[in-house]
Amino acid sequence: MIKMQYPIQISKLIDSFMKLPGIGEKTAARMAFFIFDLPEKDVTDFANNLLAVKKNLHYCTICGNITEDKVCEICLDKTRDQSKIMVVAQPKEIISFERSREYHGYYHVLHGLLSPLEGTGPEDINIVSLVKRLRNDQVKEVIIGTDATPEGEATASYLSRLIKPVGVKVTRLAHGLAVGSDIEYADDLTLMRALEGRTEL
Amino acid sequence: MKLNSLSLEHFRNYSAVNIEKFGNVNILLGNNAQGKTNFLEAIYLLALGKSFRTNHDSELIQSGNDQALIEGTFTRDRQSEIKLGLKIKKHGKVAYLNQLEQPRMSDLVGQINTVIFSPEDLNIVKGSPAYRRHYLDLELASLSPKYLNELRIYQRTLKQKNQYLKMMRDGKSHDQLYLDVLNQKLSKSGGYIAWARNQNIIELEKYAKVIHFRLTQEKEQLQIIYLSEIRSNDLVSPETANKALLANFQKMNEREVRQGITISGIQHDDLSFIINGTNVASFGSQGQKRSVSISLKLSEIEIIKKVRKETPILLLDDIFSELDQNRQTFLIKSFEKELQIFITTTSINDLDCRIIEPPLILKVTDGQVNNRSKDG
Ligand SMILES: Nc1ncnc2c1ncn2[C@@H]1O[C@H](COP(=O)(O)OP(=O)(O)OP(=O)(O)O)[C@@H](O)[C@H]1O
Ligand SMILES: [Mg+2]
Ligand SMILES: [Zn+2]
Repeated sequence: MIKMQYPIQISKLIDSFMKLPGIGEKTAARMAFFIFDLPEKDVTDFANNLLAVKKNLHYCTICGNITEDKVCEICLDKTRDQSKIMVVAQPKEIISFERSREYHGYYHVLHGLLSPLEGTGPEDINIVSLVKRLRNDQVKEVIIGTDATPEGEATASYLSRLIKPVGVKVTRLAHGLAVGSDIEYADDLTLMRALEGRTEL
Repeated sequence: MKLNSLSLEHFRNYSAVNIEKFGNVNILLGNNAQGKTNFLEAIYLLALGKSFRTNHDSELIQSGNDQALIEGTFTRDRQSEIKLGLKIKKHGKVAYLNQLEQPRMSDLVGQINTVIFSPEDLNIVKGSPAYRRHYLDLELASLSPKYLNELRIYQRTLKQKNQYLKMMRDGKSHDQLYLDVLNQKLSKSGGYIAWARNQNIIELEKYAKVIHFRLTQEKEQLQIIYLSEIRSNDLVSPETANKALLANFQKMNEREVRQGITISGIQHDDLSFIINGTNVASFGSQGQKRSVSISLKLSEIEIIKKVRKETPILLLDDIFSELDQNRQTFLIKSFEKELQIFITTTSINDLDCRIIEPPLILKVTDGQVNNRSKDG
């Protein structure tokens, strides 16, 4: 009702902002008017940055990380430990592990966790390409770094039962992560301890 | 355990009250619809993080306001004072421990213990299996954080499994390995829950038997039976219960996939009360059902004392109007001196003479509380 009184450009921008997680109509309206008041240079940068993220970045064809090229920097780095692959739910979790500087193997991004309630079954996350990667004899260990939530745990068990018959060791980050906690928010020390204390599934 | 002070802000019909001192026996006196039960509800919320009357948090917030605040200070035996807070917003609650915001509501649960006696207790005997399960779960959750955690995992995983069974039935996905994993998770949590429920019922029966025998002038033998699809010899440990449950899921697998819903599991568990060999829910009189519910509540006090090594705070909502002379006297006599009690009543005449300690009388009028102890 109220929105109809906004100029069409503003209402369109409100609709766009409302696509962002956690943004409701009120906040979106405040942001839209804020944009209008910004210097044109800032707005141009903003718009270009948005486009650049979408146009120039895509998923690494090997691990699913975000990259500018076909294959990401981590996958290209042959000095890393070829024997380990760490499985995470989202690309942003790679950044957390990289910051801790304790892990030197490769990664694999699932892009989600098994959660039928959100419409995600085993076919809907990046599992097939993980299994393909394991055909490479050099991989000796898969470390599952999903959250300690019911969905994170179920995904970990599923992967473990899927991968073990291939003959690769499967370990799980456990120690130090609080029950129900998100890896994204864990501090470096906690993540380090989690790495040290990983257990076989 | 004692409540020392309580403040309420925009909670139910309370705009702002702050009570700095309580006695051992506290009587909330007032006409109907003045806020007596609301007061007990606030204390209960600090203990369990949820209400005994509603599942909708928004009902707890005074109409026309955005949030409610409950704060209470408590002393626990042999420990320093602790301050608990609960902020209730329309879409969720936040718990505070000594002013510090807690990451999870479960950090509040079990800090203090209460036992509530109310006319609705009759539903433990008369009500639906779901009501009894809920009663059992609440009691166990307040005694054990692990129980609460396993229960949450079970409930969440059960929802996931039911949704996946639907996806399978509708041909949207078919991965038996994933279903096996869900069953394995359900059995693990469910096995623990079933074992803990069984332990609790054995313990509850031990106390309730003795109390009920005395309450009925040695006429009635009470038995409490746990009804679960897991057989009693599999309930001896969480592991054996886990195995038994997993076997049930495997046996039912084909049917569950066909029907698109979980058939096996602990979500159907129930309790049954037997007096002198007959089932109370089906054949007992109203009075017998009432006695059983009182025996259970009194046993709860004993269990809390044993497990938490601490006396709970008793909340008695309107129960004297529902009890005959015998049961009233029995109840009052069973409360030990050191227990802190909050009693709601519309009329003081029928109870003051039986209370051992001089009570603190709090007059409740339309969301206001006045201390009347000085003028007698
Ligand atoms: N969210 C709310 N906002 C404002 N008032 C509320 C709210 N919830 C309940 N009330 C009011 O609180 C009153 C009921 O309080 P309560 O249930 O504590 O009564 P009581 O004193 O226990 O009465 P009774 O003797 O009948 O049991 C009612 O007047 C009701 O309108
Ligand atoms: Mg009432
Ligand atoms: Zn990569």
